[in-house]
Amino acid sequence: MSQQVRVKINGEDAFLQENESVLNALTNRSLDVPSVCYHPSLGAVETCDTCIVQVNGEFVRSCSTVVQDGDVIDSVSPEVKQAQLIGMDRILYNHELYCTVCDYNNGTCEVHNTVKEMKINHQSVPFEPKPHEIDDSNPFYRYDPDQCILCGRCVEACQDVQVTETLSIDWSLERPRVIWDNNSKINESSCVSCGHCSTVCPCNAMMEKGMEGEAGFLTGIAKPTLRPMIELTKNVETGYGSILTISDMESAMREDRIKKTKTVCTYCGVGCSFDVWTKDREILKVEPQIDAPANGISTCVKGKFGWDYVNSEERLTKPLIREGDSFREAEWEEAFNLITSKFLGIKKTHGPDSMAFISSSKCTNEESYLMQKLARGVIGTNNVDNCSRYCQTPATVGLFRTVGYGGDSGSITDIEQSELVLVVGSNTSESHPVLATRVKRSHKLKGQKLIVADLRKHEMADRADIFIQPKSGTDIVWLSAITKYIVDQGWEDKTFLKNRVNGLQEYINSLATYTLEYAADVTGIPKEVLIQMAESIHKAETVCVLWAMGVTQHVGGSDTSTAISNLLLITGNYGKPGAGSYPLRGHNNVQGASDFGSMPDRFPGYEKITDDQVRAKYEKSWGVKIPAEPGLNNHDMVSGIHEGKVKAMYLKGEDMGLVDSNINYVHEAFEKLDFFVVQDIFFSKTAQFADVVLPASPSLEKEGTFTNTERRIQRLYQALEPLGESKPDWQIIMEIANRLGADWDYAHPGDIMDEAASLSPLYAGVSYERLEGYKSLQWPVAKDGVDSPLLFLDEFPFPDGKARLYPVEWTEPLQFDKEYDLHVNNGRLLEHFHEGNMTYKSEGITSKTPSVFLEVSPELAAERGLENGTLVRLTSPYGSVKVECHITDRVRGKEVYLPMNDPDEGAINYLTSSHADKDTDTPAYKEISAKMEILKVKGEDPLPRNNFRFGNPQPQIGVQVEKKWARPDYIFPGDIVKKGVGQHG
Amino acid sequence: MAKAITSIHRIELSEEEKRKRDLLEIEQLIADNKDVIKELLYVLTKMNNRGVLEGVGSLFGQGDRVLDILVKAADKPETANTIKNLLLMIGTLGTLNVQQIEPLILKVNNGIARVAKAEQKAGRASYLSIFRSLGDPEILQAVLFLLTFLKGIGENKKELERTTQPPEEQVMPVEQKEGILMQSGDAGRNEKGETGIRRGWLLAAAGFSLLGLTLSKK
Repeated sequence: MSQQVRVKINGEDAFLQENESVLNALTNRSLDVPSVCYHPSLGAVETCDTCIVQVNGEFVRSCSTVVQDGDVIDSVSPEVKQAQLIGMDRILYNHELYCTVCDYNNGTCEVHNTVKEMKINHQSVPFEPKPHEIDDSNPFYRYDPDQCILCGRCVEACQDVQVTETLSIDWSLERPRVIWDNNSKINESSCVSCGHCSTVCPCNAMMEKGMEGEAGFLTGIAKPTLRPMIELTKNVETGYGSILTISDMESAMREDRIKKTKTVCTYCGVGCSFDVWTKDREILKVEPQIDAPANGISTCVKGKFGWDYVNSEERLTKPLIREGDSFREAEWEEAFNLITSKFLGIKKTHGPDSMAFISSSKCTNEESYLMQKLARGVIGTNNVDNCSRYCQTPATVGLFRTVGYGGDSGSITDIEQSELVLVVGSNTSESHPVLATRVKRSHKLKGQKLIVADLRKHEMADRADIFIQPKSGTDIVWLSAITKYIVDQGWEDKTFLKNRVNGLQEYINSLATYTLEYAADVTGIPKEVLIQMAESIHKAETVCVLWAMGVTQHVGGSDTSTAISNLLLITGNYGKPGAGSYPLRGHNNVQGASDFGSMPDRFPGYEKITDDQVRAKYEKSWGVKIPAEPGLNNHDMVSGIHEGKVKAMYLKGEDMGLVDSNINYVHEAFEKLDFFVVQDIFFSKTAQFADVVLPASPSLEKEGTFTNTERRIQRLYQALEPLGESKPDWQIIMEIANRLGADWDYAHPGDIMDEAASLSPLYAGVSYERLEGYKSLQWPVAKDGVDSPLLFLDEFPFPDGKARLYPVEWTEPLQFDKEYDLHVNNGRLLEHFHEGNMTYKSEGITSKTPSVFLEVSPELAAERGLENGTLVRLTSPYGSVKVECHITDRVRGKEVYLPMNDPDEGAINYLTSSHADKDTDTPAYKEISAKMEILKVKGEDPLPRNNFRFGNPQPQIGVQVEKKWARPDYIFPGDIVKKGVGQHG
Repeated sequence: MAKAITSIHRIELSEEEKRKRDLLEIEQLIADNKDVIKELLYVLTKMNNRGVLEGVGSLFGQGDRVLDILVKAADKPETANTIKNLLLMIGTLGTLNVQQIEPLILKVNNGIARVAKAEQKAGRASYLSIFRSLGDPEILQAVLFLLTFLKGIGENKKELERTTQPPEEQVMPVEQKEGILMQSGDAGRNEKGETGIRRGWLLAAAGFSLLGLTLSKK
């Protein structure tokens, strides 16, 4: 608890929290102080000078002044008002008020609201246009210098929240403005279009293009008419009062036709939530909220601007039924009838285990729950799985072995406050962009140390204090060697190990082989660097390890994940704020898909199928008999089809025909199915093999919950009606179940959650009421609703409450014949998501990243005569791809990088094998080598010049307001008032 | 064997089917909104009778052009000034207290009526008759009013001007302030408010009577 201080505010005694800003203290006491540039998520920017008050007789900016004991604060005297007014006048000199015809007139414009609040009717220095053009070049937002009040919020957000470091204000210009990089066009800069700037802009200077001409009733007027209209509005003003009244009325009218719906992002696993603004089916903008628990005001380009797919003409709107060589559109009734008769027939002829069910990490928790209930409770098979099998199941296993819960052990805020962040096999700033911003910010501003281990020199690597590039598939070796070195030095956390961990001695014995010399030899990391890393980890009070597919998609993926957890146990980095293990979840609901039981061996909440008591609980609730043996996982299902054991499959929201490894083999399996139902929003590659394709509704068209990487359960609300005849997945599954004889009666996804919560102890206290709006819960959730942002504070979920050190060994990665001489690394890009069926629908994203490309190193390019745009064929033992090259030093030597964003000839999984993690069957996507042939030397660079990767960021801290203050034409308003020089600046 | 296929035959509704479906949809809408539609038709008939519909039709038909012409016409100094004055007048009207003015207006009316009668009599006017009428208590009171009114005009009220004063120097007119105080429901303040209003009434009545008289003499 911070101490209280005694102050006098406007003559009255008051007690305030120490370290509180004067501005906060005043606003908390409902004393209105204008504060145009202040934003709670950005802190004091100090550019606008509207929050000036007097403290102990001196004029100060209240946003940046901290209360001291005995302070005498005056926020109401005429002198104070006069100083504030000078600040506001300077803003209005830079901003033209035409509120009624402004798209930003939605009740949140700080300029409008402050003019109203300060009762300003006229300004002393009239608005004067700036000699700068509007920059309209970026597809997602535009900058209008004439409306820009130079508050610098956008710069703060870009430099210190998003930390892309593109924006700054050029204070040296006669009329300053925001610039991108070294004053390039927005679209040719390093801007990643994350949208932070337009989110925090207090007015219409930096505005989402979706809003332009759409938000207001009069803003859609043709340009030639609009200008005289603005002039007219200004000419007839008798003072701003009447103008503001009219614009307030217009703004209130907008409320009626613009719908603002809270939703949760449907791309990666960070779990950003925000309001989406819609007008009929049109999406005007995405508006992040300070209250959003995972992301606050942050978004990435996909979450902020990547929603065009929802209204894509390619959306499925009617069921499709295979008939000969083509599909034909059919009515739901016919599709349901066909599915019912086929399912019943196959179940009868071949038994329930001849059927397989695949859930989607894109769908809601409730839908995952229903899918496994359909498989187990209606058909009677445990053959149900989801796509976490393709990514993070090894991490889950590694954590089950050691600490007992398969999820992030803390929250994003723990990562943010950690002293040292170790990133292994994760291109965090592109795969989990918003989570990465927290690391980038802490590293830039708060002295957080950053160690990155990756094959590729991506942005996180560029920023790292220590960056290592171990040989592919050898992470477990250096991790174990560092752990051993720490133990050898006696640096292990002895108290923690003694009180909270089992199996120490056995584990230490298992480390014997992992000497520094051995590790240096296997991984290629010099001994000194390993020691340096061990020392950094030892010195840090708190360590978080972030890992992703670079670890898990190997034949030893589960073991490496285990080794990470072992290292954290040895160093005592569990169960305290700022520490722990963070296997970053890839999809919006990859955590929830498994959490809610779409796994062959687990019920919801990870209770085991083989546990008789648990099974009995579900059997009693559902009134059925459930098989006691675990079912088939995704990988086994494909083999099962090849073997003729699996005859029918029901798959939703998963393009398995592209995202599984060795897809040629998967396609052959699909062809062998007797009956295949695919449920999707698009006609996917997988759907091409289906017998029935069912049109589903995406997140914006339904209600439900998603669980993010922090185990955080968040509600999404329905923003739009389902397109055409598409239906929410939960309704489709319920209909199928009921036609198969079940008697489900869920009126709303909340009913499904209630049932899941009543059965699974992990969510005992989860309910829709407790998740209302921006409220969220992190599992486990006790019956009384108490959740667990940070796990293992007191004990680990094992019978004796102690964690377990789990000895693991290195499994050598797959070896390929000499002819396959290039290692093909693969993974995500910031701007496209997976095969790209959602993100390529965005014209803006596609204009900046139109196609997949192969990153090749300058060395390889020189050796093979490759150029930007050279078309090559890569061939592995399993297949081949055709793709154009892009030369970059992000990769080195004989390693190439193929992003996974192509649904056609460039699809990475034509190359990958069916080899998999030995413990979980997660495909070893990262262990693939290929040979290269050049098909056409000359071509265009597949990465256009307007891609942010060609930009030239300009790092600086904040907006550098000192440069504004140092300008010869700047006088602090307080000084003007004091000297009585000119009344209005 | 289910090979990958990509061709899709969409359900193509024939023109007749589409029409049938649309008509069904409309029929349903009409049935659901019977009362609204009846009311709407009634209004529309009236509008049509007065030729409004035709005008509105043409207006919308040429929407952008009309708006353009309108806005450009309006964006001329004299038009802008008209609108501006209108807004100012509306603002000024807002500062009047009709409660106070009503009795005053009645008095002015009475004054005018008397003047009218006086003209009808068309009697001879003489200094003597003026002095004599000064003895009349009604006249005396009127003169007193006039003097007080003149005093009111003489007072500096620049701080109340909305069009010339910077906000930090803008003061609410006394009457408005008192109005707000009265709304606060404080009994003591109420009393004070009433006396304020009474005094205000005397002042204003005096002023306007003078004005009325001066005008009627011309």
